[in-house]
Amino acid sequence: MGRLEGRVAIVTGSGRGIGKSIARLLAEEGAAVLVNDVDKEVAESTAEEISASGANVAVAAGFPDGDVTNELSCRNMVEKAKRELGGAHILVNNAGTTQDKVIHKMDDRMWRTVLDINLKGAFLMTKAVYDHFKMQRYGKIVNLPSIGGLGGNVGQTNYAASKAAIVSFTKSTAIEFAPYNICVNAVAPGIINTRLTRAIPSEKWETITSAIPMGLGTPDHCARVVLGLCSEDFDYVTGQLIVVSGGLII
Amino acid sequence: MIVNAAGSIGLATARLFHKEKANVVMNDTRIGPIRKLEERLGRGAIATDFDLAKQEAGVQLVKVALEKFKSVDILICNEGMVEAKPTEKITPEDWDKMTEQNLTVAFHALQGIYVPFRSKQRGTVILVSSLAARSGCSGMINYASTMGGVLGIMKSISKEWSRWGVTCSAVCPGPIAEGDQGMSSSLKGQFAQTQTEMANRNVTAEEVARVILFLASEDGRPINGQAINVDYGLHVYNF
Repeated sequence: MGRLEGRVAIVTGSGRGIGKSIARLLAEEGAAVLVNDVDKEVAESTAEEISASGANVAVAAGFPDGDVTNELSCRNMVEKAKRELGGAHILVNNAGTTQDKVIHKMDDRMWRTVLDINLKGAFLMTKAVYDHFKMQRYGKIVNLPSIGGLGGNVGQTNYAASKAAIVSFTKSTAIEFAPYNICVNAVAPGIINTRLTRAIPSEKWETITSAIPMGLGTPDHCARVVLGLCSEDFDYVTGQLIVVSGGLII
Repeated sequence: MIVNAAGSIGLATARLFHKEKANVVMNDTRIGPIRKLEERLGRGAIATDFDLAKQEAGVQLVKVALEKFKSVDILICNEGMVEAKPTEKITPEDWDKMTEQNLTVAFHALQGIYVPFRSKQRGTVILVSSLAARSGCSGMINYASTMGGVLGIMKSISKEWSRWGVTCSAVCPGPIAEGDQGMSSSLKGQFAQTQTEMANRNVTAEEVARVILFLASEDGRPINGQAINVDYGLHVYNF
């Protein structure tokens, strides 16, 4: 019997990368999973892959159904999980994006898009599950900030603002939701081999990755920590930030 | 140049910097308090009310400051708003407004100051965050989140602009005695049970202003990319 048997998880941005690994690992441990992504094609392909292993899966993808910046879509996602998968117990706020530019070249659209998806999206999804989690006196929320939010990055004022905000968001919601047995924690991935990091120019890539004591991270490295936080092993842990960076940040 | 200057920390900072012979430009759409202070301080102080939620306003504000004082050396950016609401009562519109006032205003102010700081190859940016960013704060998750966002901006700018001799740091004040800034008193109660007697003191806006002054002075010059709690030890777990 898996560690998450009988649980239903919503994983945002789970069409690919870290989100996909999280959705797959949660499903392997027995959870039913709602796969979400604005990219409908990758969401459906991920859902198909996961359900092929026998897991119960639903999909909320594309626009507007999979858009975490849309309040109604977020509410609909939670309803869909309840209706098609039989409940909602776990929310992983993984959806995120980057639009890098040094600050004097960054326009308002880039600023707002990143803050909307990375930060407001987590708020809207959290708000969407909150009533249900509160009523059932159970819930696990895992947010995914980034080491970019902890240390900042050149050309990522918008991204760092959104990810640092997620850390404070995690702590605040953890305090507020604790009386209802809802744990809120955060996992900050370091340099992980995903589509987002592969956009780093190749000349920088080697310098960056060679500085990681344990070498380049994989999506599964992060997903396994998220899985742990979603399990009963972490029932008394809330408001915590775990950095998964292979020793890059100590 | 002090933006979101009409809060207690902004006003105290303007008074202190003026006393220390700096020229001060105070900007806030809440023009009343800063207009009053402008009159009181007299020479070397001006009040403006550019709406920094608009992208072009940062450049316009800096232009006015340069016209008046020929140089801008220090940017201090205060928080724009505080609001306490339980999560279920926070609307998307509330969320957007908080983000705009506490993060986007800083973003635009930084964009405005970029050209003079870069051309001079020197400058100091101090962002006012809050202890709520570090400790979390129940009942005001949107405020605490934006204060965390301020620290993300601070760290990125500290890296992005250091090559031009510009430093960027932040202060994280605990609850302010006057009560218009800082985290809720109910949260403070939670801390007070476990902290020292010292933590039962509220920090004053003047005390925060003095830390800002230190960071902006020559003595504070090597400090870059740091957030300093100003809270009498209310929150000691900075990890």
